Amino acid sequence: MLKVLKINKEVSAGTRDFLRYLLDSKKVRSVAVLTREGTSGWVSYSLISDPEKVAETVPFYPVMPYNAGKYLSLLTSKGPFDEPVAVVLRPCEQRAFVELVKRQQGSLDNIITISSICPGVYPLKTFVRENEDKLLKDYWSAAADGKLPEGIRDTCSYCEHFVPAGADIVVPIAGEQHTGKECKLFALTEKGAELLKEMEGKIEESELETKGTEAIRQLRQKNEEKILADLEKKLSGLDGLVEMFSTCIGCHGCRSVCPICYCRLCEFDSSRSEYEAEKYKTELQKRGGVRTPPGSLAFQIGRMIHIGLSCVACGMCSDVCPADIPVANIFSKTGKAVQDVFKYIPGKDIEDKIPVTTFEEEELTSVED
Amino acid sequence: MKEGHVLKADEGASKALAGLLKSSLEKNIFEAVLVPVRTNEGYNYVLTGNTDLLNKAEIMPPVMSIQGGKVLQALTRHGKSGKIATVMRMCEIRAAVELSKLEQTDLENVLFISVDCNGVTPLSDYLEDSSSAGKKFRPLCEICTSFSLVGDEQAQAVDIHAATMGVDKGQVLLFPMSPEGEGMLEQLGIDKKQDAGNWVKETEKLQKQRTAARKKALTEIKETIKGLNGLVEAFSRCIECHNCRSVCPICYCRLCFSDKETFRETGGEYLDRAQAQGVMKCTDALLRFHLGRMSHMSLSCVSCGMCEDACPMDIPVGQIFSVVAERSQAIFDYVPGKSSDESQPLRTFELDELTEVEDK
Repeated sequence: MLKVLKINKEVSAGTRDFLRYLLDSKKVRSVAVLTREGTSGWVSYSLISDPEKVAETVPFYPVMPYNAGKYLSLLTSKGPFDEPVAVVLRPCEQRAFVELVKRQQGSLDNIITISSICPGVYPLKTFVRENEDKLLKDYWSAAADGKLPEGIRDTCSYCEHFVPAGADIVVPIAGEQHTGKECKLFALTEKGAELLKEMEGKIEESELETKGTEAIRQLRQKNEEKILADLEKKLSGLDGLVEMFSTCIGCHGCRSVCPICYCRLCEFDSSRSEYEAEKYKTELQKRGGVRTPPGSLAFQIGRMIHIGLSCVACGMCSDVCPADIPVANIFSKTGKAVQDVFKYIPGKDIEDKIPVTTFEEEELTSVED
Repeated sequence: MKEGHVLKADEGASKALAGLLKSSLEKNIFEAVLVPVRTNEGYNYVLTGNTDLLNKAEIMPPVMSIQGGKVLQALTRHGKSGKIATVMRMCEIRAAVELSKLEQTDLENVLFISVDCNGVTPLSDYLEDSSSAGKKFRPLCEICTSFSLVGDEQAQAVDIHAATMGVDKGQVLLFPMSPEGEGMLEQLGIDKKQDAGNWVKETEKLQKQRTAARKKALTEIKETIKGLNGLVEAFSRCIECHNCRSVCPICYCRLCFSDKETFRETGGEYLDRAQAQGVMKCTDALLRFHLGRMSHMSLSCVSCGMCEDACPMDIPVGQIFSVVAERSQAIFDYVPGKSSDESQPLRTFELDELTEVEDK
């Protein structure tokens, strides 16, 4: 049983009250949360210190303009927050941040995380091209019906880690029918419970997961079978990979927005990956033709190897692909395969070491001679 | 350009030009050719000496997946290529020339064939519905004024120009533009000539239309980006994926200035900033990136529209950059990619220039 504070408002408004309380009571110096910008109306992450500005925030807004894990890394990689900051983020964003911290790309110090049992987000392109009001209406009414919203990112529709691990406060949304009138703030940690204590309202004890959570889990499992079924076949040979990435224009947007790809200079942008003039000649003789620039598939496979273990399947990569390649499906599928080998769930626990950074005498015996 | 050399093109210009390259390979005029080839669903530049592979070549594909200038950079950045020929669009050739000035390409052994260009279809439209090919065009293509050998912007790097606009069906008219181009046509025995009056008329007409359309479109864009607020708003949706930079043929830096560690602050410093402003958008680097990129590359911007194609947020980034580019290029009377002898304005010093910004 967990401590839960109930606020008689819909989830976003209730969460705003909580953020406001945290700032007013000086429990945090700042809150980082999706916020609607004044002039353009577009939504992006903002760091807010002025309690009055909390009114402009839109926590749990169904779009991910930027993986918040990447953003937190940017804010803390040079030095941690020196005072408490509350961050509203999705489970995959939190997991991404934990993976980055394991790679020394940020610091968890002074960060309080407020997460949700997440229904998912719409692809950015959907949001840019379709009617926002309708999308929002559809999203929240689906959530209040205990269903998954239609048209969310593929990775969201089959996400298996939509119940956050390790957050301080969790707001159940997916699978819950109370979201339109009630906001429940669950404390998952001591720190979380401490913050709820002085906030106005009644604190009860309750389970975080409900029948609704389980229904969503089953729905998502079904979606996984549906969406990823023929992908495995395509991925099993080189030809399939070549075909899937044949429209790739080499913009590497997938890498730029990936919360795990943090290298300032990617291996595949280094001069080592470039062909010398002589190499073109030998390749021409050997193969008759060289796709130029070369290394298009090497990039994809290489990136898979580099990030597969830590891929949190957030779906940012698919969202920004100008060639509409289902990058996230491909990467989450291969990511899961390697994660299963090491029984590793990226970002679940800061104490779990990244498998390739550890050595166990008894492991992977199946691939030994 | 009174007369052009007649190249038979019963199966269309693409096949005819691929045939031309094939013959030139057979006659050992070149070691290889660099042409777009259809691979599954995509079009990719392929360097090949294999005449069979040329059957799959799609000269002037409906989309521009990768800018030709960037392709030549990959090919010649570490030293010049063998003797090759390539068929590219004007904006690609101009980008390749700009890159040579930045020491990113070596074009010594490259023979350029340019083709009249109607424009390319935006990638997202084409992927959604391939029948949009040739019907819908990049906004910058619709207002492009250097689509052929017209006006005073034509690239001097072109060795042969292939005219298709207003040319009789079943034909392409070739104009040799350099001794190398002339030599190639001679070696291939393409000597029949025909009056090119119709082509001149057609391209000049289109040039006029485009010039007017360009003026109108850019004026509109200029209005929307007026002042700092206009710019902030135009880029407000930007998610900083930097796809625009990655696909830009001019942005060649291995490590971009805007990605430098220098710009990062500590968590505590960011908190101070948020405190001072009440609210700090994350990240605050957005406009710095776009303004920085503009000042870095706008003098060389060839308005190809790659950036706009690659933007997942549908920001008219190509049109915005084109407005800025036009103005900065006008100051120096500089046409990027026009001539390889003309040095880039920021790399030269003239005693008598920009006097209007001097202190009186």
